[in-house]
Amino acid sequence: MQLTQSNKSVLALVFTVLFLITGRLFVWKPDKGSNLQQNNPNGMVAEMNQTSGLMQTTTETTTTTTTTETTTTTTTAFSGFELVPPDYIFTYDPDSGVRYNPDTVPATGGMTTTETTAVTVTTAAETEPPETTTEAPQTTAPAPAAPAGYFNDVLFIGDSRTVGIASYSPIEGATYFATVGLSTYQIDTAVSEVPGTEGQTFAQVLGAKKYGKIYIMLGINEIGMSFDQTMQNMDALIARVQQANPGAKIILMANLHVAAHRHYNDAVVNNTNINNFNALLAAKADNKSVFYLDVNPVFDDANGCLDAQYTSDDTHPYAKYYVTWSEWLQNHVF
Amino acid sequence: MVFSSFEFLLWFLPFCLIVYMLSRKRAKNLVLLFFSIVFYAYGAKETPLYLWLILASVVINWICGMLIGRKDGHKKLYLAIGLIWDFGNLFVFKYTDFFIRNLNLLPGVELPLTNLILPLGISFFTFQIASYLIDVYRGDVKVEYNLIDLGTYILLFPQLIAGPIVRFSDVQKELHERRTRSDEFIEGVQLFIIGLGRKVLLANMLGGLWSDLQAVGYDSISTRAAWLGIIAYSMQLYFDFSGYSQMAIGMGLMFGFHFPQNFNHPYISTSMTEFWRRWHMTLGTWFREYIYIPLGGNRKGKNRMYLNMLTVWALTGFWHGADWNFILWGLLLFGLMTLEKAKIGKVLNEKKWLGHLYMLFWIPISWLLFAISDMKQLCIYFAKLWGFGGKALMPTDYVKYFGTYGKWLIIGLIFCTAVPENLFKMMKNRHKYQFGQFFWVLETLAVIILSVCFKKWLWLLFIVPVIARELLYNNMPKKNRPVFSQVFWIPELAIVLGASIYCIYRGMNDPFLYFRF
Repeated sequence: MQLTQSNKSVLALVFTVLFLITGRLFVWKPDKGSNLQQNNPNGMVAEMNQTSGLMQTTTETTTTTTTTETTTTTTTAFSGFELVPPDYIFTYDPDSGVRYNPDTVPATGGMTTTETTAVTVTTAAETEPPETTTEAPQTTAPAPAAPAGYFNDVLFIGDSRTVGIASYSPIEGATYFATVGLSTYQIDTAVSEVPGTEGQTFAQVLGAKKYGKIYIMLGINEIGMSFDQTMQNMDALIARVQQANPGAKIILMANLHVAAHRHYNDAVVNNTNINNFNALLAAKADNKSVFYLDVNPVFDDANGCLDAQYTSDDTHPYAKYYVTWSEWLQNHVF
Repeated sequence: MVFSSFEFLLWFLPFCLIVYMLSRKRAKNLVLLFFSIVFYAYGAKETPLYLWLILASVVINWICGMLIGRKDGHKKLYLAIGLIWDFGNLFVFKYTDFFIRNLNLLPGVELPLTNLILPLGISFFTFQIASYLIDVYRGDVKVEYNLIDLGTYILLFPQLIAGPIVRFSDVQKELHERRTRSDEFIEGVQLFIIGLGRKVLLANMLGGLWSDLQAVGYDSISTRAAWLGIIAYSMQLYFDFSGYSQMAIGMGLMFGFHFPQNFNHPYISTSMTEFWRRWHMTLGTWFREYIYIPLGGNRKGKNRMYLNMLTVWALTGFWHGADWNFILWGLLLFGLMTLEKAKIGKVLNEKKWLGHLYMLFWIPISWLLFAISDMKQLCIYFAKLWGFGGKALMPTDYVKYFGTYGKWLIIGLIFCTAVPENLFKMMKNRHKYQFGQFFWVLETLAVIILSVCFKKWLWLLFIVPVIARELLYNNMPKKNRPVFSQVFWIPELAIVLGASIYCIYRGMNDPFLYFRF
């Protein structure tokens, strides 16, 4: 074997550089926390939990929300920045079958990920009827099926998931303003891509006729933006829709969760953010003219993520589950 | 770091080129090696140990190569050690889980999956190293004593992660003595830009259709959409892979290497045999040189030849992925080629139109086997192609998909043929062709069609430089024309580069462009 002098020195150099590179890489961790921080609607960042052990999920604080008997338990896991969810009110209306479903991501202790989705909120079992979080909605409260013509004065406003409903659901008579990537920020610049309203702007669709029920499902495309601004936009949208259709019912639909793979790998579009966002939507409901409707329990797996077998891209359900979804909608009428 | 990313295009490649150009002749390989290691380290940043794995591979193969080169009678042993290490790595990282999954199907066996992440480019560099060891063993190439040179050959970043599979004999001379000629450098830049365009502008756009169908679920699409989808997938695969190879070859030229050609318009083949002489040619060469011919090739009788072909094609399938569908795909290729060799090959070659029809059918079908690993889903999709396999939830979905992707499918179809490349070559040698003015007419037409298709009226402005160039060309002294035709193509390539960078930029800056919900 021949190892020349230049070979040796070069080897030494290369390996030193390599060591420096890999040495850094061994400790390198993506700082996803800073991304999440800006999404925290209350701007509260909990201190890093240094006392609890590595990867140990511990019950940290128990806060009782102000107005109701519901108790939220904040569970924190180890890692980076942590979020405290906004204070919001859980209510359950057995008559209408509408439930303001809280964050459904349970504390999966010991989940070894670099993901910083640390805070999970679960409702305490002693105050909430247990079936609200465990059983599928259809089985708990058999709400009346939609009467004939129910959807004739319905307007759906939404993003790609609503496009999916429009494309694959058996619902007849409804009007859609939906396009892939729609958010409250683009409500006036976007045009609908759904048959029936294709190419029309929001103003055109809104002005075309009077609607009795308006379903809005927006948020996942703007989940990386400031929640404050988005909520202002949402309020403006609701006010605008109400002004155009006095007396109409507004149904704010919760954003569908993403599947676990995305939840743990996406710093922005994950269920922690989605749940925080949905909670803000739920807080807008007054149950008189504004309602909140959450389909997630139908599609969630045990961990509160979109069940992986319903989707191939971790985000959109397969076409046939839009059918399931619309059947569920027909059973939850307002 | 993929070639079609900003880190690579705007930082890594320019920086590497500048350092390479400025460095002294003796240090050039070291510069390349260093940048290749950085490239690999960046790709393997989630799994830093893999960087050490590939470096260990380089060192082990370097030592094995030198030991094989010693004429002490233990050549075979050292070759075996080297090959066991190389293919052992490939096996462990790529195939362990496949075998565990299949063993678990047996009653009473419960083995845990290893869930190993595949080291970047392991399928490619294993084959490259193996070619070196075998060639040294056979005495076809000289032993490489310089670790830097051998490391550069194995790790060279243009071909590290997606081929072409460069054999050591192809580049040994250039590893020691090469210079970048300026005309070849320009040629390399051209190839790189064209490859980038194929990847970013064609493959990525066409890829949308396939992922749309996946999101919808194969059991809910219509038959026509299923055909559209598999055709789009075939094109995406081709443009993606050939674009990547072209970028690699282009970068090779920039550094003074002449990598072998990897794709030669495979979709204009008239038989599967011809197809595989045109598709991923370096892989075909590898299997021929190191599996088929050592097994006896066609010299040991008909039956032995078919057995050898079966081995080669089953292994080719298995090399592409550790799943049953890849093996099935390899077997399908074997079946078709056997059929061609025994019966229909002559007919297909004589009646070209029949051959094209035959391939137009088998290309998408074979890629279907390649595309879907889940056997159940594969059956559903296959049934869909013939109108079975569940009700289409939206019977007119193909109209929607054709509306969105139709123009890309048509452009892709044109670029599957050799016509654009030949036109480009003619354009570069404008002065040699009598009917040169034909080009600007054609190009004006193309611009008009494209701007109508995409409803981008501003694109019509591109007619202006085309006509201006034509006027300039016609009014210049005849002796200047050959020089001018060398730079004739610059506007077109600038457009391709600009459009590619714009698309990458949109995708990067706005993560919701490709991930819009």
